Amino acid sequence: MKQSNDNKQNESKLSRRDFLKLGGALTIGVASVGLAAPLFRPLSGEQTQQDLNKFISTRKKDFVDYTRARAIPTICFGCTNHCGVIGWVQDGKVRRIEGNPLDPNSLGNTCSKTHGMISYTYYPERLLYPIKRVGKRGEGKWRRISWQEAIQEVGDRLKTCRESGHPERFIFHYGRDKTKGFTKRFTNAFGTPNRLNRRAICSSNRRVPLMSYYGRDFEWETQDMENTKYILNFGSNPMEAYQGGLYMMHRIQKARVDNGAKMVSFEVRPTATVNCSEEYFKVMPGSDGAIGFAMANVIIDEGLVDKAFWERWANISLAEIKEHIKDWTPEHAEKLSGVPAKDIRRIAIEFAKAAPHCTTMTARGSAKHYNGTQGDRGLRMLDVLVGNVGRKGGLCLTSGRMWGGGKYGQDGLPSVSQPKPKPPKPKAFTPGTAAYEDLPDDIKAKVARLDPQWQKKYQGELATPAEYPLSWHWYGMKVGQLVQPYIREGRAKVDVYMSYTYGAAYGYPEAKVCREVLLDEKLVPFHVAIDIDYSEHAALADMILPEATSLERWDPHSTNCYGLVPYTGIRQPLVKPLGEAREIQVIFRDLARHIGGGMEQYFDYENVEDFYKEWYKNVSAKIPGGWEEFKRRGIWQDPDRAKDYELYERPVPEKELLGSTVDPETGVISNTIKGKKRTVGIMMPNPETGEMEAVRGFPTPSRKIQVYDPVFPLAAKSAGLPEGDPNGNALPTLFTIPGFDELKEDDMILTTFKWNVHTQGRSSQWEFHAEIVHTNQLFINTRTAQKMGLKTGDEVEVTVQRPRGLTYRGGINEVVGVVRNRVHLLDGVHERVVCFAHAGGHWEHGAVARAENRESLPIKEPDSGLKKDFSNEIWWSKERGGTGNGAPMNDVLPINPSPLVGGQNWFDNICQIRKIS
Amino acid sequence: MSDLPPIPWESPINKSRSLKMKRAGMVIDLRRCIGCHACSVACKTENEVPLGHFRNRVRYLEQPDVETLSFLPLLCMHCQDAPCLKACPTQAPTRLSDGRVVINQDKCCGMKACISACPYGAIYIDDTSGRADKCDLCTHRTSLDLKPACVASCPTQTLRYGDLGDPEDPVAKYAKEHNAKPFKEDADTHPSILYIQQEKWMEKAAATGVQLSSEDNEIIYEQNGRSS
Amino acid sequence: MNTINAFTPFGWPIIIYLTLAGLACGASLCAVVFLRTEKTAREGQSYVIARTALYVALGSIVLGALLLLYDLQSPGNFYRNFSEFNPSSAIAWGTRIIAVFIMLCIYSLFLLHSMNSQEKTSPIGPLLTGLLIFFALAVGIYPALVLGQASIARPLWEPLLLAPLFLLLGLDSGFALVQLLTFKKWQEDTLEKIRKLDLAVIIGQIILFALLLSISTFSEAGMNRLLFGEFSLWFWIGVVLIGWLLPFFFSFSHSPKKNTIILTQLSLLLGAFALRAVIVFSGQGPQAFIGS
Repeated sequence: MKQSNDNKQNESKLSRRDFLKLGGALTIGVASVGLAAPLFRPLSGEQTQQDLNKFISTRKKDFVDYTRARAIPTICFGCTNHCGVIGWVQDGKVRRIEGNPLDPNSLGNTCSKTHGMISYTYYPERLLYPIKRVGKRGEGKWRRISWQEAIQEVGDRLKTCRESGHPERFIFHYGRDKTKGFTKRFTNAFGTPNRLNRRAICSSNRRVPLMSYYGRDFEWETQDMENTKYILNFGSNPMEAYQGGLYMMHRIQKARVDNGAKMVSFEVRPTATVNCSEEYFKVMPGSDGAIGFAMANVIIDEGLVDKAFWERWANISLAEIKEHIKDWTPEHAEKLSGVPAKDIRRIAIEFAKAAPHCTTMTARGSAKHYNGTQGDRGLRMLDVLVGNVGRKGGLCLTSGRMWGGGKYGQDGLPSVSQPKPKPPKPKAFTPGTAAYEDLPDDIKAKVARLDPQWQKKYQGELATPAEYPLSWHWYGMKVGQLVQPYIREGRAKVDVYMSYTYGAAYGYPEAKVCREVLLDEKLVPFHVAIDIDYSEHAALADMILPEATSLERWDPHSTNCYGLVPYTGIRQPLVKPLGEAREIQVIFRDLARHIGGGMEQYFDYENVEDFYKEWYKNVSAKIPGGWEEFKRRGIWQDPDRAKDYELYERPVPEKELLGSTVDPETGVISNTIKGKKRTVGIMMPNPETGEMEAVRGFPTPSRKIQVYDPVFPLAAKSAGLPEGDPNGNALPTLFTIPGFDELKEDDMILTTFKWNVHTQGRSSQWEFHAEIVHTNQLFINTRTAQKMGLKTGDEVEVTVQRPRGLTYRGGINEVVGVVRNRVHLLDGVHERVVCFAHAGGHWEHGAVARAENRESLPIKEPDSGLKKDFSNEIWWSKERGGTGNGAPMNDVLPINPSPLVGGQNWFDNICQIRKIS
Repeated sequence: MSDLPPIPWESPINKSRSLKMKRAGMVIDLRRCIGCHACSVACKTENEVPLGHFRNRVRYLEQPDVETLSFLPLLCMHCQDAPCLKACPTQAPTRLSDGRVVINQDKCCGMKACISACPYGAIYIDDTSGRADKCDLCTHRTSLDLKPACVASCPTQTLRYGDLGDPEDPVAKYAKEHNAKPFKEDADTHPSILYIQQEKWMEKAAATGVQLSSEDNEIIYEQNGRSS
Repeated sequence: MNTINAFTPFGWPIIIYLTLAGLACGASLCAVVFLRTEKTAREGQSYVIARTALYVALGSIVLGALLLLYDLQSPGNFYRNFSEFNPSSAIAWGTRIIAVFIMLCIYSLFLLHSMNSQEKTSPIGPLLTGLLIFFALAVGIYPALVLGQASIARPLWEPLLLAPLFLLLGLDSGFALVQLLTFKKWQEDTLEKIRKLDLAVIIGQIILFALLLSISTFSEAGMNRLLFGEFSLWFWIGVVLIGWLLPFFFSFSHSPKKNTIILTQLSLLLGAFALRAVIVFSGQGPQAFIGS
């Protein structure tokens, strides 16, 4: 019994254990089979193929679906180029921008900046409602107001100003205005000449040589890059940040890679253009002109001058020029620039031998110096010497932008001009006018010193500064960086200051001066800003009006075409303005109606499109399908038109010869057109027959290329420059920048530049661009840095000195400012140069630009349809261990307008660098 | 007056999707690159790639013997022998019929095996979804005969998209004519992205080259990273 | 080191997992050794050691698996690891290996617990022992193949060298941890044997690691970073001093005092962890990337 019990116990025990064992083993077995099951599926990694549609279905749900997105052509506003683009709109949002292949300038290419339009349109901190300040000016306290209230207040103030008899006390100051004259329509209708710009910041110094030589700036010279074989690049950077850069970059690369063209660059740092060059020479800033004169000498000495061209078109003899420049040899240039004389010789010969398929390329690098205007005049001479001007592969001049009747080279093009009625131009400040009598006495004395031709055009110190007659001799380039200092000095009075997408409070030299003036309510009683986001400048306003972005509004477009056939395009709204943002055309229309007094007649439209339809009626007439077809294409170009080669050899049309007179001495043909006496051409012998013919020539007073230009001494005298100052020389002249000849051992030259993903100072809030470039450390030559004991990442203090030349506060021995930054060592930087990039150190423009993980817009409404707030994703913020957004450089750069011309000399800053330990 | 040219951008509307190529690929002609980042930004805009990651990026490399820089666009190489395909346990990376390698988001569990296996650093984890993602040669575009976003936005025709499996394809011909080679050929993964005039030194420089700031290097410009 | 990016996909969770997988491998093999070497009795010392070892193995691998889960960026998709199978993926195999191994451990522990106090024969038969050995080795080796699958991109992770090294580290640390936990149960002569084995393990580690570093494709920059850069402290103090020199020194000291042995085992454990950290971290990063 016991045994059996035991047995039973044993049995039951065993069986239970066995059962569990079995169960466990079974579980393992089944689980293993289960785990192994997919092993026997008929697929293995490499052979796995997935069905396209299945894959598409796994993508994020809101990917850009091109089967249902709508493509609308428009014009890019990412930088100054304004390329034709296509925007893809899906669910009422612009999702993607691509090049418009019909654009003859871009040929369908775009750069990264075009996507900035999407960034700024849907930027979470975009301004969408009119706001009015409630705290002190600049304090950052605002309240939302209605458009009605906004128009009421601004309109009232403008009305009072206009009716007071001093319309010039309304100042309209813009940063980027590509309305092609629409804002001028407003200021002209108002009666103020003070539509102020930033051309002096940008390009005056390099436009003046162009206008002096060829009579106009033609928007820009237009090198025939497609066909060139040799490019001499003096400080120009079309691969990154240059007007026309995009149009040039693909043509240059094609010429280089496919056609074997050679590019030689003279620069201070390895720009993208330098990196695409066959040869790179580091030059001392401000010495490009020296190289130009040296090359001219070589070309003359080697007998490589295109004598036929020079004698036919230059307004001075070769012998005189040879005599004038004979001392500025390659050896002399080597001393100034550091470029070996033998290389200068070799390259000059290579360049000349490639003629006419060769061209110079100059820009801010050569021109934005105290001696840059005269230096660039020297460089311009190279093209005339080798006779590449207007020729295939050479330096061409095309009829350029916006075709109106009577402009040079635009025969046969439809006239595109603003709808009538057009407001008259504001009156000149002639003695007796209220505006003139308002001027301080010392300014009156300066006006009296001006040449009579300029006295007749004088319109106050902001629009036509008396000391800088060449800034408004050809057209109103003005001197933007002097506006705020002049207001502070009392040279002009202000009732209403309106800034339009403007960033001077951040981006101008000595920006602190601008901020001081804007903060002074006595000097600037009312400041209204029109902008798309909360900029440093807008932050100092009394009211901000939110503008529609370039994806939401109309603009006409035309610029010089590197394909050498003029064209035009239209910017059109792809989507409705977000929130309560409004197009400038609507804002101005409503203001004009509120001000009244005749202003309203120039803004007599309800629908903005109708206004542009009227503007473009002559183009629409040329297109089968008219306006709608033009909008559908976005671009129009006359496909049958010949390229703009040698415009100067084209005959003067019969109708312009009727009733004309010919100057017997110079052969210049003049005629009276629209009640004004103008030169229309020049009598020239036919190269084959020797018979005299009436040809266009150049739109200069002499109808020739003005290598010699008497306007310089005239301007020097008018501006009161000392006798013999080289800036006033009628012939291109070489001289050194004051102070550069006595540099101390540790003096460095601070130069500035823009990154290829940024534009002007208004792009740091574009998240994808800021992600690539958000800091602006100083680039410095490796050997120089090592001598100073610096390595990459070290912090330094940069002390910038006031310039020594005849300029704003020039010669005062003082420090302009001190800024801290980190250094980055690079072999390719010139030994005496530190390069400091723009676009860093913003303190407004929202979270992305500030590199902070928090929003900073004063007022934000919840609806909007903007992008999600990515202020948590800014990995480069200091909170996240990143580098932050860099250092603001502009406060330490001196206001330094070039004599006579007024262009800012960005690259003349003598500075000292000290390591911070 | 001549006829106006046709309008190219109106074509994809209501089209059906298909992949027609034998071996979809790209030729990158480094002689033309100007380092403008248009490809990176176009890609990020098109694909809404979160901040901190790039499917396509451009490196600035200091040349060893001269004082200038070279530019090097990098993206997924769509290897014919793809390490990511081998490494992923869940078969999230797969190949489409034209040979491109794509990541099926549905299958990814974010194990990062593909990231560690990729010799080109082309894959990242999208923080918003927690899934691995990378360049798919813009399948949503290319299946409608549009070029990938980066290629469409390259202003100097550095990037060229075509069928490397078709000897008559202009891009395949261009690749052959200019002796285009894979980047990091030693990895032996048979990429479908080929480079013209790439040099050996670039491989080394590419790993530490910067887009801009050396200070950022440790945080981001080591390709796709973001500090967590 | 807290950055996940294309150059550095793997961080601390993976390093800890690798260490735990090694522990699981070593501990389970330790269990097998003790189950086979002596007649087992429920109260016998070997039995206790084996049981502890299996608990260590199970605990480590479960903890490790949880860490892996934690490291997933989309844990919701975890099931895909079982519904999909990519035969060329080491992880795909590894997932299944871990699963089987966990079940084997649980089953073996169950058998050990349910055995009769009088029983003289081990309840874990030859088949189960064989399976345990096989899967323990698999758990020890497969992580090396996971890293090895990235060896095109990251030359330091050469699977042919990593596999024996990881196995060695696993055995070493597994035995060490079990020894620490059951110190009192060990016999003098076994301890002495183990001490000699430790020496061999250290020498093996040094040889394999030296071979790993001498792989021609591993970059100079990567080497510099490992030896003098950001990981140098981990390497010189964690690996060389604690992992190698200390146990090496102790293994020559006479009279195996309790403290010495404990210190030796602790330093071996820490050393194994440090070495894995060094391998994982310095195998990643731009300096260690292919072509650098």
